[in-house]
Amino acid sequence: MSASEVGQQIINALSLGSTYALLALGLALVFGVMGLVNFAYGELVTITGYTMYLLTVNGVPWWIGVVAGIVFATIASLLMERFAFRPLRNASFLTLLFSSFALSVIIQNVFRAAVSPRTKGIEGPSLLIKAVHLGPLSISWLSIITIGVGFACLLGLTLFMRGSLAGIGMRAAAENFSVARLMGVRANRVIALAFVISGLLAGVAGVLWVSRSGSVDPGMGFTPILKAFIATVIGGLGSLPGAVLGGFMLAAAEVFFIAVLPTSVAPFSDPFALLLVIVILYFKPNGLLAPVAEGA
Amino acid sequence: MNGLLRSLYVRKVAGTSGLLIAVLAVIALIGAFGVGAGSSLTLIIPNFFITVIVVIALQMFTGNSGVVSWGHSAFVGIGAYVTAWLTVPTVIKSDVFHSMPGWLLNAQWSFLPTIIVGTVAGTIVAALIGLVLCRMKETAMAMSTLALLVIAHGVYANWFGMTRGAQGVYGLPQNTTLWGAFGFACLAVIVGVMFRDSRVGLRLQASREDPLAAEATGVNVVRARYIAWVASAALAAMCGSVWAQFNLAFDPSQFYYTQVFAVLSMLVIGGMATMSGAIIGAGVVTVLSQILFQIEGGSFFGIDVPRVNGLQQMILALITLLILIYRRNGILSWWELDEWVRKGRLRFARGGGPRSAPAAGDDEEGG
Repeated sequence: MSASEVGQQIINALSLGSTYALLALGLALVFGVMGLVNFAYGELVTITGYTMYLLTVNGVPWWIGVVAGIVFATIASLLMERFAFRPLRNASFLTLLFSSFALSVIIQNVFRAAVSPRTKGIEGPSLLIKAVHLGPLSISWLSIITIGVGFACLLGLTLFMRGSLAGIGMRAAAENFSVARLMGVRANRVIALAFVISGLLAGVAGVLWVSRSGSVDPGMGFTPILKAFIATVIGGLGSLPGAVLGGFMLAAAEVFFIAVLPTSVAPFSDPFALLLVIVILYFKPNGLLAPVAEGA
Repeated sequence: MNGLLRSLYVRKVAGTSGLLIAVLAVIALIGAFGVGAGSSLTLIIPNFFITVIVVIALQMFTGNSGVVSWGHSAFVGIGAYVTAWLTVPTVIKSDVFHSMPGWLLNAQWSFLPTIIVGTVAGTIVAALIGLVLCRMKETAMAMSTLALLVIAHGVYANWFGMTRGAQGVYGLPQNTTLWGAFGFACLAVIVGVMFRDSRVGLRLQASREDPLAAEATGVNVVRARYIAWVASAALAAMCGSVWAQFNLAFDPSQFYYTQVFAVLSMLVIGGMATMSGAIIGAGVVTVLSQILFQIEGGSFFGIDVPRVNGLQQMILALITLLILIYRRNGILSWWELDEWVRKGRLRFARGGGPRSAPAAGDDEEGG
């Protein structure tokens, strides 16, 4: 493999990785504050996609669709918390997981019933598929935007979590919820905030996701949630830096297998990447950057 | 002491599985004699028995250990594909499986040997994967079973020469009869109940309630989970083999997360702690699915209703969510059917009824 090909693959991995990292962060945030692996999180991507589809198909400019998609995902995330997960506070990991799984099936089928069970195409601006030539590399604008947006979100979130009172409260709640409450962190508020940020991240990632695939379908949320789930578990469930690391590692593994495997086994690149994940988990059962458990 | 415990065990197993098998037998008799040929019940009832097997398989692992598994559909798939390899007539085989070795091409096995080989194949795969999986923490293990599901689906959909990819396999002989399905469902009930009240089963349930406390009292949690994992995967593979010989054709999408969700919702609705819960959940979901399927198709017992895509799944998911919110342990919660009957009889003997309501509160909603 030549140097330019390696460079090309690194760009691919970075672009895919920043999408995965955003998705994984949203999942990890909610897990941190209420111990829920939100399986319906993938449906936030679906909601973003369908908002964009329904608006653009009716002649609304693409960028308004993007903003509306992100806003709707955030609102949906908040509603999920209020109506499905608040009644289940303090339930076991398994109960929470099942209920989010059920919620995800409900949302999927709402789209199946209300829009169509079939795949629908979305046309983005033509700029996205144009390529920039940098020496021997040719990079699409979409990759550049994805990497830029991804890193901007990571930076913004880091500043928020480290600098603002709400962010510090949320990190405290993730470490020890009851002690954080004793210190004056409001339980309902911090959980709602986690869902809002999680919805926002899912919305941004959803826009990137849909721009890449160019289409929406009711079951499209499964792949994003799967990748996010895997990334958070590799990184160590509940660890935010771990989620980012996991996202980039998963993307690197996928891009590597697609590039290296001969064409006859190319369809098996996903299974190979997942096998690698299982191997990592075998040696690090708690993930790479697992938070140190204290007390609870 | 040991003898006393053993006789208690035998009585408990016999009591629970006896009543459940009696219930299944009534359903089977309805299927055999009460229904005219051509009625849709001749399809639904054997399918119900097959569903019972896979729900019990999942109950054995997830119900006892409290660790979710998305991966059991993978083992159903192994059972089904091995069955197709062994039973499809040679003429069709050369058409369906392009890279099948010659010795397998001529294989024409009958019902029971096929099921045994299918079960063994699933068990071997589960035993190998389990070595890795069962060592993990609960969350990592849950994720890995999801990864397993996706890996297995990837293999079924892309190993074209042996699975015909997404187009699927056809031409299996119809070997599974109503009574065949009933027999295997009964076997699953007995295995499930025996496991649940066995030494390993009880240890596993202790680890479900509190893994640390269970470890501290000397339970080898990893080992208990491993045994349950292998045993339940064996049942799932058996189910796949029985199902394949009833359904006669299948494709990889039938071993994916839609099916996983259906089985999980049965477990949640009925109550995953008990065998009766698993079976009643399967029954409730089967009946509901049929009704909703009719409505989704645009008619409800002859009355026209507007067509709604995905209604069946939507309502089932909604019911699952409501059960999780309002009756977290499922319809049956912690008691087997025979225990409910005994409780009811006790209350009756005490002169119960509506007036003894205060006394009823103490044992109803346990956990």
